[in-house]
Amino acid sequence: MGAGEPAAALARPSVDRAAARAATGGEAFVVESVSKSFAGTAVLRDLDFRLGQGERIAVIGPSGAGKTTLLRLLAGVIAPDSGRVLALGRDTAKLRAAELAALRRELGFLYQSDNLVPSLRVVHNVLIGRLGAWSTARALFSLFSPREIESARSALHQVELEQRLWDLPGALSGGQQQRVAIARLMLQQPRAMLVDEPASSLDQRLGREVLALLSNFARERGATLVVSLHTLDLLGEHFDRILALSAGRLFWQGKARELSRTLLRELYGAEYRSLHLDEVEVADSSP
Amino acid sequence: MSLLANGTADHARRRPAGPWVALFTVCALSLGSIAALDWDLSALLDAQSRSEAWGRLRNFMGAFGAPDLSAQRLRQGLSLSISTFSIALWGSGLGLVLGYFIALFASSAVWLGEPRRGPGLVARRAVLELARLLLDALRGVPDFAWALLILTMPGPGAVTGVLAIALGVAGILGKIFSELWDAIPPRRYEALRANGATRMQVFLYAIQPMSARSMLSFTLMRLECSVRNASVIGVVGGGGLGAQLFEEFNYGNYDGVVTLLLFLFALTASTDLGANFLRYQLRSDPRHPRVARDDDHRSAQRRRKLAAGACALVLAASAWAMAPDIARARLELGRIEWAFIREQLALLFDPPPGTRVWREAAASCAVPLAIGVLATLFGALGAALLSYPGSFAFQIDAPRFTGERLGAGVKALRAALLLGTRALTLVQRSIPEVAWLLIFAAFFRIGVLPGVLAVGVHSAGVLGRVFVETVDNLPYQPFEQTFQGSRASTFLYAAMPMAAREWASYAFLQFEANLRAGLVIGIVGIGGLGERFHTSVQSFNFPRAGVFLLTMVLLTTLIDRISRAFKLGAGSVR
Repeated sequence: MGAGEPAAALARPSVDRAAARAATGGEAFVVESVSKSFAGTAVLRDLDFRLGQGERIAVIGPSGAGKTTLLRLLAGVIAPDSGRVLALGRDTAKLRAAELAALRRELGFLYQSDNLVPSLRVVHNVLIGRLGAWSTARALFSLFSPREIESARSALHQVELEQRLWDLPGALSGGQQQRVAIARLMLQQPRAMLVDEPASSLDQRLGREVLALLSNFARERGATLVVSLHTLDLLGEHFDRILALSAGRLFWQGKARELSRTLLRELYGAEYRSLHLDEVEVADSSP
Repeated sequence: MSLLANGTADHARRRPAGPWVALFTVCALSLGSIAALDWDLSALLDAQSRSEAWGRLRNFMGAFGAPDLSAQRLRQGLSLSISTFSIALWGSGLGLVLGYFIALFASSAVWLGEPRRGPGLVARRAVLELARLLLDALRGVPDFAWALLILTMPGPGAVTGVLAIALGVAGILGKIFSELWDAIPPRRYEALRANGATRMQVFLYAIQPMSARSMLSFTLMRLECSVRNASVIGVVGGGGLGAQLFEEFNYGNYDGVVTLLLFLFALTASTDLGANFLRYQLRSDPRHPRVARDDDHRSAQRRRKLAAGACALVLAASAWAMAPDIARARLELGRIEWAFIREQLALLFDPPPGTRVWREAAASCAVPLAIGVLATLFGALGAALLSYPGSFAFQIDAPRFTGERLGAGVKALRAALLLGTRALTLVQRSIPEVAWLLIFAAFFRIGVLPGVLAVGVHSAGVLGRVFVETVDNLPYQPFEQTFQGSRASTFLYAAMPMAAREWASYAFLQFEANLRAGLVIGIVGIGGLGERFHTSVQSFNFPRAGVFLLTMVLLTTLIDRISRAFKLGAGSVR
């Protein structure tokens, strides 16, 4: 690949947003009366909400509220037991394998840890973002002699890690590994990003940096960002809307500034103290 | 300076040359191996030889359509199969006991313990090295070569086969057990040591229980190999199916060969499936994507008792089946002039003067080495290709990480692909290298090309199974993250790199096995070190045979030390 190609790859519009909006009424995800159980235990119950294209959403709630299950439903990895999920205008339960594959190319994932393949160098881990656009033969050849290196370098530059291109993930700190995973998302250029507790394995400062990177990238690209967060000290000003889940139900939704201490106490119950939520600044600061 | 910039300076690395070095090494090894062997390609290149080869193959394949199914032949096949299984079972059992005992002295964790100081440490270290050397010697000499030496005493028959297999199994299991014990991190039994437990107590209460499942798994794999080896060891006088098979082949009785091959396949394949089922029951990793059922203590105890009872029953039945052979061997041993045998065997350690035989031995290593290299590369590449269609995770369970909702047709197609691939690898590994050689030799005649093909095809089957197991034991989360529409790309970028280290260990273990196979098929007629040893023993030139025997041991010791240096031994395999 020539030197000009990487920039083009990063700058090219990845989606026809007008067409997408026309199909979904400008909504990236529509969740209608969705319930999901595992081994007879209800994890999500009768959920109903819509997430707009380009909207940045934080999903909060105590342990076991169903945050991770919700993200996997939005991604189409699992199907709802009842109700329906529209992801980028497509009903995930009704997609054929090829259609689901096409959808997955437009969705980016980031988990709390283990985002990188430990035995692949950073360059390959970033280039995983291009797999959706590559043939299997190209992917195989790239394992031996990496293709589109400059695209990977450029993405790593945006997370200030371009010098670690040839390192193995084991040589990086936890925060650096998360940034490499973000560089992968940058290369993939998804229309929506589903991020599961991205800062839980990082200290607070690095957690803030990671969220800022994701939020800025989503804003610049006009991509939808859905982030699940266990704690609230990282909410900051990165999100347009908060969805609060409790025992699989939508407990509350609104803007970050509308959160109140009473609401948090009710939402988190016994976890309120252990998560030090009394230290989180909210509008209603009554004890 | 932003937080992100922390730690990024001065870390720039140059592009690693690893992939190119690996490619160059593989090419150099392949070309060197090809150049070292004496290839006979006339069956492919010469018109007349080609037409004769096709004629032979037609006869052979024709026999597959019309095997000899006479009652006499079937009775013979059944009786030889029972004898073969008994040889393998008793060979493995004796080898297990002997290997376990030697491994106690070859394991630094068990024999040296901690702290490594105090009186007697030098002597203990010397014993450790001696034990390792003994294991190398037992493992380095293939069971075919042991059989050639042993049959001078009890004569050809099942007892020779049992003893030859037992010596090989002892060498292999001894090495594997000692590596497994040494691979357990000492911090996991530090508490016992702190409480004043002795080395033997630490072994019995920590090291042994922690490695028990892996030991049992490797023992079952070894039993499978023993059944395969027992089915062909008769070629050199070890009893069982092999002797009859080789005889029928030499007389060109292909219908008889095919019948015996079918018995051989039925025996080895059923052992393979049975042992695999038992190994599957041993899986205990709670993080495994398909965790085994919950187990309570009482049912585990019950199963253990049942298994022990079944083992005792099968061993007793096998001993009963071998009773005539044992009686015959006892008769032979009674007639032996032990002084003469001792004198002859002592000659093994009395090499001829001068360096000519040593030079000849060193040069003849090229054949087993070259066959080992080519067959391992062929086998590893084949196994890597088969591990995608043969993987349960990528064919049947893929919807768990892709989210696909599959129609019945696609599900059936994927199941057929999986079963077809697994059946192919089962056939590949169930037929031993020597039997594959006879099959390929029907077209090529016995030579280097069918030899490499035989060992390579068998290796692809052996490695195919363990490569697939490695992939199927990986967690699904990285697959879910990497999947962008193509299962194949996910396999390349998540499954393969995560399995690579274990694949390399298995391939290296297989290289050792292929080196032995190279010696064995040399004995059968391909040439090199194995053949030279065979002709020396047959002509009672024991001083010369001793040099070739020692060369085999040195070769295996060298490979073993390399595998230990690169941590490619059994301890690195989960």
